[in-house]
Amino acid sequence: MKHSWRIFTILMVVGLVLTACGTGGSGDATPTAEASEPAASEPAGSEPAASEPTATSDCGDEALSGPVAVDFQLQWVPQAQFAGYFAAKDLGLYEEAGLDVTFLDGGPDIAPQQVVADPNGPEFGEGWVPKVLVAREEGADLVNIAQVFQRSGAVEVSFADSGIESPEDWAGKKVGAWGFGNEFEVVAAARQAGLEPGTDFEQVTQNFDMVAFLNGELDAAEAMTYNELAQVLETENPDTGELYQLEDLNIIDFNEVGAAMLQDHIMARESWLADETNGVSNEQIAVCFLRASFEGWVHCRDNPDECVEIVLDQGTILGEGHQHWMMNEINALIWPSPDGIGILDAELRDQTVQISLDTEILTAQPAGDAFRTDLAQAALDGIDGDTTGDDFEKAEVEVTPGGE
Amino acid sequence: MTGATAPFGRRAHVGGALTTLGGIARSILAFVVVMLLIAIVWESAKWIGGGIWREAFGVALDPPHMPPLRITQLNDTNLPHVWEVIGALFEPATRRSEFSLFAVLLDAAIFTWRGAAIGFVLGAAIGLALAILFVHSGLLERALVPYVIASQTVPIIALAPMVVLWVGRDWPSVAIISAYLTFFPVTIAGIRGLKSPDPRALELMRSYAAGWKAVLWKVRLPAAMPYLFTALKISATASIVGAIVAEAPTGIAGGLGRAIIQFNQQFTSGPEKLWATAFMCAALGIAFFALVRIAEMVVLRNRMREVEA
Repeated sequence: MKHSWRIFTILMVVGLVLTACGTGGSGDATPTAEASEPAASEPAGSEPAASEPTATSDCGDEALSGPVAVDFQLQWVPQAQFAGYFAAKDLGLYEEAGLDVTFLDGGPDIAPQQVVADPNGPEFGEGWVPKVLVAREEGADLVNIAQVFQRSGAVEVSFADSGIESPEDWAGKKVGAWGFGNEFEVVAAARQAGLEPGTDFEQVTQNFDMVAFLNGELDAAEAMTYNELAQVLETENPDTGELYQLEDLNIIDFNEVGAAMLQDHIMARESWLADETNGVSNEQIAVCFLRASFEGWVHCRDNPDECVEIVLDQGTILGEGHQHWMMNEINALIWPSPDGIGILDAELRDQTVQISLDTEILTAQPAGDAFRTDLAQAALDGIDGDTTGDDFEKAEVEVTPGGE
Repeated sequence: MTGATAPFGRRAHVGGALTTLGGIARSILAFVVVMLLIAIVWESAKWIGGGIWREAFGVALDPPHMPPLRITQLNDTNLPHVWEVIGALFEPATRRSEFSLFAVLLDAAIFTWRGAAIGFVLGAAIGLALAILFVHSGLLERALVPYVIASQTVPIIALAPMVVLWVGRDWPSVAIISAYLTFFPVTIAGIRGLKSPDPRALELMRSYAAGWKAVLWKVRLPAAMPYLFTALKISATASIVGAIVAEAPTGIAGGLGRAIIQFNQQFTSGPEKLWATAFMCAALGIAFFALVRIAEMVVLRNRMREVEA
């Protein structure tokens, strides 16, 4: 009896020791990016912008009084949607700018705008404009400092034989839309076509996969060009045994019907921006962060295959084919950037706010400086090379079964 | 001395050890048979109401089999073929991966298990400490047990993000959430177990003027062992569930939770990978359960022999 108790105790202790020893090993699954060769597009010597009172163009350890550690909250798990940032780290652009950037992965329960709004939260975050505006209206002091994606990546897909070619054709159909604030473009497009969701057609909250659409439970489904649309094309059509083809689908692009809302941008707290770190204004740090990030995106525009490799190194189970597709589509959402990458399109900003007001997700015009372009402009001014991508054209990417 | 060396050391126990081995073999066989039955039912259903069968076990069917019924729930997206799920495990995780999906998931399972196991040990220790406290103080038991029960009515899915924000996105959060799910069965079973000794044994100890520590160590804890192991077996599987629930929604990378998120996203075009991940989660739970069961057999082997005799 006594003996058995002792063995039990020993087992417990051994268990504790074993598990404790184990944790040191492969805890950090994410490979730390090492500073490899400097990027092709090296930031040329600083060129102080005379019109810029808040920040100079100097970056690097000396300008920032030593490397500054900043956290960057992403919207989702690593994928090519964030390729430019991964590239900036992998190529040592952040390090050159005097920054030690840590990426925080997103997930289903991670709302970047809430994480960043926390006064002790990460310095920067990446999110969709309407959601951040809602957070701002609720009191978060978040400000959009760089509008990276110039256009919306959301589309509404249906099968070619459904006869749905424009939002008007949704009448009487089952139309899928995501929840969590991703459904506003569908609602806006419907209202512009004179249809009221719920009365003129059935609006179905869909999952973040395309199963219901492929099963025929939905006549139309919301999809991101870089993700869900690819998933359909990577799936075998059970009736033919071949992959679905683009010709099989009708795609309504929210950009074309005037219902697009701005998506991925970089946010920061106003209170943090007004503060300083090591005697250097945080606005200056933000400029350096944006500059290196922009250079990362420029690099991914010019070297998409290399960037896909960098993304694939972030996770062991990302499908190569799918990430190639995504990289191409993400580039198309950024480029061309008529006023330079990260500079907000005022017209689309107004459209985003207007749709938010019309769909009653915002009760009033965003107060104060919800959008700032001065920091992004200062960041751009220090970059040599093509920051607008006027000649950008989408590549043809081969679709692989299962996105593998 | 461990159970493995006993048969060679002491002849008298060979019979007992063999019975145990036979028992293990029988339960493994039963498990395999049940799995096979499930696979047969699964495939039969697909034969009757699934998608078109163009191949079976990698062999092309010509002409393809057209199931008489078309039931959405049984099509190849919702319910992939058994061999596709198993096949996915042994194919490279991605086109360029040098590791099979099985190896990648095993790696993820070990990461998840580490958090779960630390939480399990932590939860078991806290659970046992609470049980000892409650057995020695009726007042505390009456005052606090309702809160212990109430703690388990908070859905873990609501709690996990808060813990992660508080502790950070790494295995300590996973361990705390696992511990939270683990301590409860141990506390409840511990209270019963510690109160289970024959009153005459307690009276005898009192007649020796034994202190509460001696009574606890020599009478209560040994008597509580079978109760505790029953609770620990429940806790072992619960700790795995807790670890996955902690990882999945909160962006913790490296474990099965992340694998579920990513394969869920790819479900449309590769459902077999999510099924394979679910299979791996179940296997991890069973493995941890079996580990506790083995510990139980070792610790309680004298008692089992008494029962067998």
